[in-house]
Amino acid sequence: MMNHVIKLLQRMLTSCLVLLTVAVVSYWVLGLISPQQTLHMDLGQYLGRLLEGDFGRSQFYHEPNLHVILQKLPATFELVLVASILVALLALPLGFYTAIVPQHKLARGVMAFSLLGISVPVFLTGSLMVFLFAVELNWLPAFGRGQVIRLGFWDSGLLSVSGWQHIIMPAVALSLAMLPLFLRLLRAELMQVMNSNPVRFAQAMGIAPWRIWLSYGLRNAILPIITMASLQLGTTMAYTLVAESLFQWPGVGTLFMQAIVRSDGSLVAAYLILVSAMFLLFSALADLAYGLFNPYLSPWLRDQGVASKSGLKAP
Amino acid sequence: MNTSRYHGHYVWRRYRRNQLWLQLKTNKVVLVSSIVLLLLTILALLAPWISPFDPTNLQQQNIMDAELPPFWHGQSDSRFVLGTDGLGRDLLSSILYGLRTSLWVGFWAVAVQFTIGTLLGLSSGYFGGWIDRMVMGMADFQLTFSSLMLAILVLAITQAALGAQDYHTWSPWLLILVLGIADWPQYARTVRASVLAEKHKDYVLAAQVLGYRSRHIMLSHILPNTLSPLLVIASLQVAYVILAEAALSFLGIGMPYANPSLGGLIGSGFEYMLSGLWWIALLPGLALVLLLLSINLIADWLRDALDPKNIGQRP
Repeated sequence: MMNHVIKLLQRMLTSCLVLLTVAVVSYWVLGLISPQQTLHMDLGQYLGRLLEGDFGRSQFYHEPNLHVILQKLPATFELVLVASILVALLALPLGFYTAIVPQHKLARGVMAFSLLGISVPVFLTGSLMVFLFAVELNWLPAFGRGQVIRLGFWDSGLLSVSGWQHIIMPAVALSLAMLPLFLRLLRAELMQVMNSNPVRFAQAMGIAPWRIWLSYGLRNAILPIITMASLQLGTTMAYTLVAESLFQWPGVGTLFMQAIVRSDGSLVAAYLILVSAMFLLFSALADLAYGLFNPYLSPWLRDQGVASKSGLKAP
Repeated sequence: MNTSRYHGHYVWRRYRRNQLWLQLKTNKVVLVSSIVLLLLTILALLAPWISPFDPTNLQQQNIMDAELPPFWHGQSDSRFVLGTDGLGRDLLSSILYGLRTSLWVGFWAVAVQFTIGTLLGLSSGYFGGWIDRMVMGMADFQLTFSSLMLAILVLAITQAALGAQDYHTWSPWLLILVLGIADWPQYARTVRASVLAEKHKDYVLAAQVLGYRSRHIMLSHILPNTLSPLLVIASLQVAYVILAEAALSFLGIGMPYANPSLGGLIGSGFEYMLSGLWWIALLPGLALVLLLLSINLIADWLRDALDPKNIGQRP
């Protein structure tokens, strides 16, 4: 247990150091983009204000930066959420299918398609979808977020028909860009597990195939998937920014690109700090999930001898 | 006797034993993609001589020629085989020059990555100790925070700081530098792992006893034996860097508008797509997908072909 506490403290210390570095960099960025803002404020004052939760005021919106960014956050969050759900819904069954019958024609087709998916950038898929569904067929709106409904501090686009119509294309484009990465990893992991001795033994025992897939395959593939997901965090952020900018989705990515065009240094600096903080938070959450699912790391499983030498868990 | 030459022969013999060429001949998909890649490369290299117009030459642009469709369309103009964009630039010439840009950025950025990653990985694995800890800590952090996101932030901020005009005189070099520096960890990790496996083998000990310097042992003795996985990573990275360059140019923070790049062409063509002129964005998109797909297919095959587990196996 002591080990965990030390690990946690170590991690918090590194995170604080990273945030401090980012804060210094963002002061420098602020000075680069809007020099007049740093004239009357040295680095110490800037850091002091950040600690008090004062991220400065946007030169364009004439509002506190924190407020501006938090207002745009729900749009980005909902887009990533819907896209992630789509990825999970597609990657799981396809991953199992292609791992269980890897030589089947359809499975090979799926894998070939995933290689194509890696080669088609998100903005091209998006452009093609806009051309087909918005311009030619006129089924879906090409940009914007549609009608939003206010729930306290959260503007949700997922409660209205127009909101759903607007989110379909960006979310599908984003998920098609992320899907191949996850599908290929899941398949590779599952195939490795399916060829291991415990699975062969379970098959020989006559355990139902679906139970083998779920309790051997999925359980053992979860850890690499979490690692992969945390490694793809930055890429997801980048793809989301590109998708947002293509569909003019009013999220934080679009906000950042607009702030760049408008030379709104104060907003850019605040964005840097907040995005880094969010990034650290999510990678900490991924690590936490990793510890939760990993028998070697979780203290309450280690004593029960569940973790075998091969790294496979018995159901 | 020159030791490095001896090792060169050794490595080459190992590749031959791998029956790389035989596997290439029998694998139709990879053969076709190699031919496609070769063709695209030749077209890109010859772009200044074979393209009908010079897209960087403003004198050859005529706004009267704008928005002409490709040849299979009734209202096409025989001078512009693939039509023209919104400013009257010949699309075929722009695509050829764009391919040139993509390959140029891909090659140099990967060359920078390869050099930095290999040198850091070699020193990290060979010397161990604090160098190892520092390099690997940096690699972990860099790997999570994706190179594309880092490139977006750095390039966007530089653009805001310098102003669009000044920025675009430097952006091609900056692009290579940022994409080259940002993606070294994969190489470093792979090289380090190989070095750790190799450095206690007899040939390294023999070289140490003979009194060769560390630099010589690392570069001439150990490095040739770690080349296979590096080759696979580098080939995958070429595709990734080209994709990243396209995404950055699409966002307007990559290549300057006057210097045609596939991503920039797609980005500017997207506006015209909303009025039904699909070819301005989709034809460059097709070229980009063809390029990325052929590189990805070859890289995918290289990974299997150079895998030590598959040595000597018939395809």
